[in-house]
Amino acid sequence: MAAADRMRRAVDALARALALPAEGGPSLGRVFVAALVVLFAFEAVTGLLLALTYVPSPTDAWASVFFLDRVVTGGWMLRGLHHFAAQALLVVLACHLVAVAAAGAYRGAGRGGWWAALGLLVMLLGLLITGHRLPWDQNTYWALQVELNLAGAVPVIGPPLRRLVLGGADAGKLTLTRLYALHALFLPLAAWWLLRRVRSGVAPEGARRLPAWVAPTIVWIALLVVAGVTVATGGPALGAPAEPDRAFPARPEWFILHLYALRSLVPPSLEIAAITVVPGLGFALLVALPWIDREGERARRVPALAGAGAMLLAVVALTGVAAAKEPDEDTKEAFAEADRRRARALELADDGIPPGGPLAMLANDPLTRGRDVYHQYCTGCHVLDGEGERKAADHTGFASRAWIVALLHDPDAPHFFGETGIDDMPSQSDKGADALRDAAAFLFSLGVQEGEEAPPAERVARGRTLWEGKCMTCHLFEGDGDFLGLGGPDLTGYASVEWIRTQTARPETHYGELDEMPAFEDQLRPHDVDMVARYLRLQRFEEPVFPERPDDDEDGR
Amino acid sequence: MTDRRTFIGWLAAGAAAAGAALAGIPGLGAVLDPLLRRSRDTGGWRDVAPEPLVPAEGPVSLPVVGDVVDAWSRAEDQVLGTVWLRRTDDGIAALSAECPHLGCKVSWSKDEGQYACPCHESGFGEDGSVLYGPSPRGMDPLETRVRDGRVEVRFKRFRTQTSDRVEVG
Repeated sequence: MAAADRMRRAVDALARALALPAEGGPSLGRVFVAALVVLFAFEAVTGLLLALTYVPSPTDAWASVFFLDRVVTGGWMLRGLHHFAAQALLVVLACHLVAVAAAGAYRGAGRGGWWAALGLLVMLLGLLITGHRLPWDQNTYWALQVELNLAGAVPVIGPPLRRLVLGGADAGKLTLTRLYALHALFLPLAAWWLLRRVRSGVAPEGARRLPAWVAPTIVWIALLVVAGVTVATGGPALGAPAEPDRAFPARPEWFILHLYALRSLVPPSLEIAAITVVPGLGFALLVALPWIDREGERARRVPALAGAGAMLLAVVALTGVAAAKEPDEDTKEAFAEADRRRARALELADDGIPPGGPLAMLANDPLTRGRDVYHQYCTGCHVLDGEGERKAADHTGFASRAWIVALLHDPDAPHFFGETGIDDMPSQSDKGADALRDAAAFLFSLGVQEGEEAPPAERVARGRTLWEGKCMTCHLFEGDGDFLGLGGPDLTGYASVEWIRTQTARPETHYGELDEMPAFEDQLRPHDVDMVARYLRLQRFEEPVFPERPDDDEDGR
Repeated sequence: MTDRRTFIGWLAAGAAAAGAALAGIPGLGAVLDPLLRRSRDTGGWRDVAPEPLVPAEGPVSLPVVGDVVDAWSRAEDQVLGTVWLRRTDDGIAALSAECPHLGCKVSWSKDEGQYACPCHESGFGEDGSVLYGPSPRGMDPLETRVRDGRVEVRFKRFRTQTSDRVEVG
């Protein structure tokens, strides 16, 4: 049977790869080749399987990786194995290069294999970098910007290269299709072509032979480490979705961290030179090793290998320097905000991601978009969770029953209207604590939405009686009230989404002559007004925080 | 006169070359397309905010919104970039939030009264001048004008890592 025959040959080939050559065990210069072959095959298989789910588009990339991680059976494990085996491949390739160099196996007939391995190193770095950009989260997006802007600063070839990878002037749809095509087709084919030549490299005569079990053992250790790291970490983390409008302190992956460290050590004008010329010269030295250290000229061996060794040490040292650097406060804050958005995005994504992708999802989320708008437009006068300037009411726990009770006790407190010019409302403490709780229950009930728990009906009813009897002498309500003509704020539908929308867009609708708040109607788009209103309404479920808490409100119930 | 074998040889070579050209010419075109085709953005004035939104003290960051044509898609009201607006003696001035070093988004630190880039620690004064760090030039100023009480900005992007301002087209 031809098929069985082919299968046997494939198994033979794998066996040869695992213990090259069969007689007497592999040479030191080739022991890692077996691991390279197996890990490469492993990457090919896991990559093919990931391609069943992944979609290379700005709207779907993050979403499909989310789906892979959270929904697809075994998806997180598959992605984790692919992710960590790629890094193991890099480590094994580095070991191979060191072993070949130490054995002098790059000399003579071995030089083709040496060059192929160096070419493979370039392809592998390309595969790692393109692969890490595919999930399209904040770090991948901003790291890509930095990398391509660095590449774009290289004279002559830089700008067109940047444009070719981005597929235009900016990152967009073609960026991901191009990165994906490079990662899944072009680079693996080139790497495979090179890997075959790495295998065909021959160690020089008399190289030390190792026992036959060494190569398979190394493969098994590499695979076990990959599996162990994947399970221990739960797979690589998916960050917050890429937001081109939101700053993020991008940091490179460990395998390019040495360039990041190198860049920060030189004066700004030399940056590009440092990260192109220095690694370029180092790589050139490795390529030139077979010529510098020729067969039969042992005297040149020591300086050549000392140079290569110094380079390896420099890479390790620079990586260590960059990895040990403690992030500053701003960076930590930015990471914390990114973590918050990540957690929120994952939570929302569990209910399904809209066709517009994670950005559309976050743009329609009050807790994300509403919060962004609040922090940009409202904290100039309002305080929420301790952030902002106290020029008007504190919004922490806004319109919760405890908040309303506290306001009724002391409207002129600094966390209510104390810092504003509004001072016409007297304290209502004389009505008694229980009456204030009734009033608060009534006012709270005006903003209760379907499916939410309303305060006890009898309390609301008592509160309404109180409201109609006492409060409507000053306050407008459902087209009635303000019998004294003092123009007290209209509380029809108080603290409902609609009420807060109107309050945000056209506050004079509620406050009339008393209004001091700017109308945000012409600063915010209607969608943002809606988002901030929905965000603020959620404060009714939070605990208010007062600088000095009035005694008699306990929990406001 | 060529014999039959040579003729067939030429024919085969010609077919191979034609095949290579047939795939190669459009193939090369597709690969190099981003270099051959430029974006259609006209770099016109864009409405950014009502004039009173710019505070008396310190800058405010605002998105620049417009239609984005990206490959086969056209989307309305997309964020094109971010600008920092502030008041100066001559009216309202705008700085692009894109760091001239490597394109990260620059933030304003209220406590320190300066801009800072989160990626490689460049710092800029309120007027956008470089205070420290690797940025080769100050933050990029953008033309602004006020029309009917609204601030408009002529939004542009510039190449990063250069000491001169070279517009990206």
